[in-house]
Amino acid sequence: MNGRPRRYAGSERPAASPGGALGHHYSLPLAETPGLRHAGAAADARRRRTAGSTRRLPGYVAGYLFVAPAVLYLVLTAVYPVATVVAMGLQDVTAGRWHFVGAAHYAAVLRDPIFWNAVWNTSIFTVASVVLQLTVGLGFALLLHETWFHRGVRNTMRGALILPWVFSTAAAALMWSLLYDPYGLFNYLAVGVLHWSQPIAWLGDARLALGAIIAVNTWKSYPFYMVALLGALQNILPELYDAAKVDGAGPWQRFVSVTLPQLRTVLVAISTVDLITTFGHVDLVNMLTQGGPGRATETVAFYVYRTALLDGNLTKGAATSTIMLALLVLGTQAYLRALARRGEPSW
Amino acid sequence: MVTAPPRRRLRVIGHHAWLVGLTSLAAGVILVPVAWMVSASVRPIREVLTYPPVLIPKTVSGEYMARILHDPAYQRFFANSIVLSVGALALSLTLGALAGYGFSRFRLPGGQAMLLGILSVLMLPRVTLIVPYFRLAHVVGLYDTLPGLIVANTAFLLPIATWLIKGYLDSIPQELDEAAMVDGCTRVQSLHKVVAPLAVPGLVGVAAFIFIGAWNEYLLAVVLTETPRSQTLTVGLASFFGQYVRDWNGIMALSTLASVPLVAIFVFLQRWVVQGMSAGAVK
Amino acid sequence: MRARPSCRVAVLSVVVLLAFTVAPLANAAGSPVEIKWMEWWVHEWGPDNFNNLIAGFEKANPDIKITVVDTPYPQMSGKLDAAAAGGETYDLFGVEGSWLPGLDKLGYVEDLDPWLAKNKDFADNLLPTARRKINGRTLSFCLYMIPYQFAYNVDQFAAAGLRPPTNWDEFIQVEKKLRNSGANKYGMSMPLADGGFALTRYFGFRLAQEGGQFLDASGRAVFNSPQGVAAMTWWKNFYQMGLVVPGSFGEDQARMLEYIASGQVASIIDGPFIWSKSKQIDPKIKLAYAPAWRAKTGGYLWSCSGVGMSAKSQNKDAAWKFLEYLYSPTVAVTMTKAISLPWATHAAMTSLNGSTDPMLRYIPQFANQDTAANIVLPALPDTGTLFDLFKTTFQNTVSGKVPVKQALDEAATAWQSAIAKSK
Repeated sequence: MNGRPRRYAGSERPAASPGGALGHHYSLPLAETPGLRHAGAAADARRRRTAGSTRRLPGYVAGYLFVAPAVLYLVLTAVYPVATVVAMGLQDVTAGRWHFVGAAHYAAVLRDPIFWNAVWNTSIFTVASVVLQLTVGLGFALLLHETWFHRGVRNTMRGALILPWVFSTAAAALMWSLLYDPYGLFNYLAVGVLHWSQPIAWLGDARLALGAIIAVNTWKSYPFYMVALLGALQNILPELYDAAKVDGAGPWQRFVSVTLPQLRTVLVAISTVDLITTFGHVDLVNMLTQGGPGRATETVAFYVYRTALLDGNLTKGAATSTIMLALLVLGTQAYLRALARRGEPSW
Repeated sequence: MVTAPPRRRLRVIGHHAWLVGLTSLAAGVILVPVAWMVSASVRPIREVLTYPPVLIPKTVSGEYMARILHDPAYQRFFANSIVLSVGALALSLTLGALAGYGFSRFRLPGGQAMLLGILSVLMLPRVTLIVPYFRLAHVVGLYDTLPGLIVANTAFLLPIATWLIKGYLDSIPQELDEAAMVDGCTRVQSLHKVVAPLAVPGLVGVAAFIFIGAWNEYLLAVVLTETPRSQTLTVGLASFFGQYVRDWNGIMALSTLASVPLVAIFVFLQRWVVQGMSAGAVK
Repeated sequence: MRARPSCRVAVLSVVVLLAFTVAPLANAAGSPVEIKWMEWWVHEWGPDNFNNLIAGFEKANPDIKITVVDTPYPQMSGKLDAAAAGGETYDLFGVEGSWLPGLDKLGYVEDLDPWLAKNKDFADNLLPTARRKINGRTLSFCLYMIPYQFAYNVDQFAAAGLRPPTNWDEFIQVEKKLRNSGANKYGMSMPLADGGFALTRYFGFRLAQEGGQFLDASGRAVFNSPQGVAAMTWWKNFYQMGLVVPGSFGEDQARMLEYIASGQVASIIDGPFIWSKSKQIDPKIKLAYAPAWRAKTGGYLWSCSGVGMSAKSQNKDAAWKFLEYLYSPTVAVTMTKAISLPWATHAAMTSLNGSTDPMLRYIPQFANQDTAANIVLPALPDTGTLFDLFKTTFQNTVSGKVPVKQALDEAATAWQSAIAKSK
């Protein structure tokens, strides 16, 4: 462990492209890019390091120094709460006295079919939300990254499209519940304009409700992807597209072989965070359906909410929380491993 | 573009029409709920609740917004929200940028476990975490204070900041800063002159996320405060949701007002992104 | 190179440490005793009514200061739980029966029976149904008692030439006429997204009128009795007539109120507060209760929100003094009139006799027409889970997925096991 540098999209592969455009990731031909300061020296740097030269300071010491403040902060502010929740899950309380009950709450939760139903719903909710948010957000980022006939119009559009994100979730959920209502705007189009005989009960039909919530969640959160990816698109050097064009790559091929690989690390980071926060999401469910109809939209976080707050059973709620933590640790690891490039972790 | 031959020009115009048309169409659909919310903030709510819907407001009134703007408690909530968001942003972004750089540019023993561990506070549902945070805030004497809210919010925002910034820095070719160092820059100089300018567009996205996250955070704000002295807009918003009835006009007016600073900041930051790019290493 | 980051570490550590040590200035120990009262009623009752209430007490008791901690209703239970587990004391707190078991487990709730024993006037004036009991101890008093009954929009009924129904059969006839008055037009909505709501407004109301009970004298769940089956069957038949606004399973109480307040529907079954709440949406709306109904019995279901005292309070005497004030005849009568919620005292109920308020005037009739058949929703353990279970039961029954008897048996068994476990 000597502070070996991390790779970026294919940087250590040959920069020239003998194999044509398909199946090939374009990387920056550093030494040949005239606009880059210090670029010529980069090749020297690589050569020198491969020749075994050492740094002035062992890399990881400096690295730890960079990381230390954040870690210290979280040790001070997050370790105690997280540990408390985990510990609470192993206890119970009667008349104000806490006592250890071991895995009793865990056993009760893991045996509860309602919990597993919630896990299933949450998985659908999370995967669908993340995929849709990523798709919509990336789509808008690409459209708004292009040069438009008028920069002001484009920038206005950028501003307008973040509006769903900046409105408070509570207000947005309230408005959507009205839009979905039998007397709402959507059903007015169906019944009032198209003369359907019955309004659609978007939130009152077990087959539609989860989809309806996913739609709201996507609407609410895609701008995060859009903004983040607009930033990342700025950093893709035009030279990469030029190289692909020289090889005769069409727009789709350029997207697959230049844009996506260059956005990869950012996409992994955003989607990981999104995955975790979406899995733990409770506000929309709470405000739109309260888990219903039946149990069609009950998520794990809602299950915890009901157990801990509505039942007043903090200890069982804590145990369920800890199970959720374990599921997410496993899920996140699996997700990151699946995205890792061969022979190297992606993160 | 003006000098382009006619066929090429047609294609360019076609390209633009396609871009603008597609974006506008999608934006039209997406902005319906937003327009509906804004309209509900300036007209009596029974007009919004009627069926068939009244699309064009019959009455437009600024009284709902005025009621909020003239209420000293809500003025205080606005000020508190700004302090909270700026404070949480400054803390999360500074610590997150350092940590993101550390995780991105150094292969740290135990780094992966640390990165995953950092996220664990996000992996627990907040409804159970509020209990220890409530206790912690009391023990350290930060209950019902703005610093307390900043500290607690940062605990949730810093992991996100660290991850996202690390993701961005990973996308910036490491050869660039190494080249600079070979040229005689120190690591800090290379960070300052090469990495930072390239990271600005990414940092803007992260900053927006952190700021909006703190601005709209709700559960911690309700649980860790009890007087208007330290309460934020989201608590003010929650008081419009009663046990039996919700004050739609209040909710929509406050939400619209609360989103104005966020849009303004975003527009400002966007301009800065463009500047940051043209002033950066790549051009 | 090394100095910069470590310097930042130092600076940031200082920032963090500073943040931890900036404690709020502790107010000097003044002479008046401070009572903290956490509740969610300032906006519900109107800030003026609320402030007058507090001012009246502080004027009469200059040695006691009431500090109000107003908390949004949706977060009340969470904050109370956090306080109970986190060692913060709210001397008095607004509380729903459903929150009591959890708080009691944390040892947070004072048994009020010994206090009542010391003040006979207080005990006599309190309605017998107002004592919220868990395992034989009174853990809170209902502040106001709410019956549920059919109410209607006076102007819309007059325009349609309809008279308020005086019994369950007329109720169906009225709803049929309203349904036939236009496409996408319904007489009422029936929100079934919340189990507690379905349990009280619909099932419980009819259960009382069938002469049934939720729990028997020994505390066993018995709502799967023949009376329970009859009550549920009635609602199943009603639901299947297609007379209520579609989307019941996704509708909540607030939306139901918005339907009637904005004129979408002309009738509703709910508590006496709906008129004053509807006026917040349409100041000109006029609602009135139908006169008392009677099926097999004339009983009504009553529910309430209440007040409890913290067992951890350092100033229980002062807190009790405030409770005495809160339930005193003057306050009870004033508040009942001001906020349309019948205070849980005999004085308040008596004051409603001869009232001209189109909602409140009927309340003594609901209370007195068949006192033996009146029922109260008991404080249950694991309320969230049990209510939720009842939601599925109700939804599955009225949609015909599960037979009435089977669904009620399953729910009663689950309730019974939760109740048994908590003892």
